[in-house]
Amino acid sequence: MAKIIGGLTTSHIPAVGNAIANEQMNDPYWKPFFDAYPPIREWLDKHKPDVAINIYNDHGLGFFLDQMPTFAIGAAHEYVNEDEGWGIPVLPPFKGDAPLSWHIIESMVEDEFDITSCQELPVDHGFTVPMQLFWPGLGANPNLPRSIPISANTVQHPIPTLKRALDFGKALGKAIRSYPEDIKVVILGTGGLSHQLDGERAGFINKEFDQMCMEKDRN
Amino acid sequence: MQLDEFDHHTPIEGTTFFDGEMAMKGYALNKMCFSFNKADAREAYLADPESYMESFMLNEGQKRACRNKNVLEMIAEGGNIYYLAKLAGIYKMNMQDIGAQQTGMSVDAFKEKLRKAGD
Repeated sequence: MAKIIGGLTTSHIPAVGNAIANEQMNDPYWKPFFDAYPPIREWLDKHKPDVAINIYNDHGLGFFLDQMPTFAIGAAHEYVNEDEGWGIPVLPPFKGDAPLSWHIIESMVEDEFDITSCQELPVDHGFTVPMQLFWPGLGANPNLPRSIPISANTVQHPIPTLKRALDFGKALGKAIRSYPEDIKVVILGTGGLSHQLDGERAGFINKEFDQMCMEKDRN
Repeated sequence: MQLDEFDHHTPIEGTTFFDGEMAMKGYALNKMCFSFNKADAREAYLADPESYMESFMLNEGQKRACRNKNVLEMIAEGGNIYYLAKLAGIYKMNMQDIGAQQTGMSVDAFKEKLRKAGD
């Protein structure tokens, strides 16, 4: 049976993708950020998960506002990255695990989650930056796992309630653990915590709130 | 139709909820910005912004905001920040530049504000 070996969370901002592309990991501005990752990579290299379930949000590459799924699950053999418009380098495709995707979709719908299944889904920085952070070199990294993108709408309100997101995660865990193959699965949760990109108070960060979220996540 | 009754949001200082009301208002602007995922679309916009905006049927307020390259005006016209970022990218502006413009700070001061929030 499939086994969930752990969950990892990280920011996925495009500036990180640019910093990697421009090899600025040791610049004073970036170093404290990148210094947090080596212990996680050591853990991953030791446990070698076969599949990473990458929960992120699309930002206008895979979906436009004409059709906006609340929860979309990739069901492809491969996921391409494409030009996002503002100059972050395009990365090679990511290998999927379509049989596991369909098992998850079947199980989630059985549990009354109304899933949008995607046999094609271009993945943007929300997906690719965490993959780069955890498996540097991507295709050149022998430990790069197969991956399944799950995009949750955070772009256009109404977005799912926190209760719904938590229940989604529980149903996802149940789906993975009922997969008959003996594989190791790691779950990635990506994106910002307190987050204000637009308006007169852009850049506002609520450290206390962020720490409370991380503490509750851990437990 | 009166939309007030559908407004379920608790206001958050200094931001605009991008909900159904804003999604309707900004659809043309956001659709144009979505097109900028393609390099030929970015070139077409730079070559002739007025014709490009017209082809996506932007209204006068949206056109004015784009001419002014003013992100707060674009948001007021229904622009969604993730799509506006693609328009800003045409002018080589990233999210830090956009944050600086909206808050009236220099880019360095804005980046320092982000860094300090972690202290």
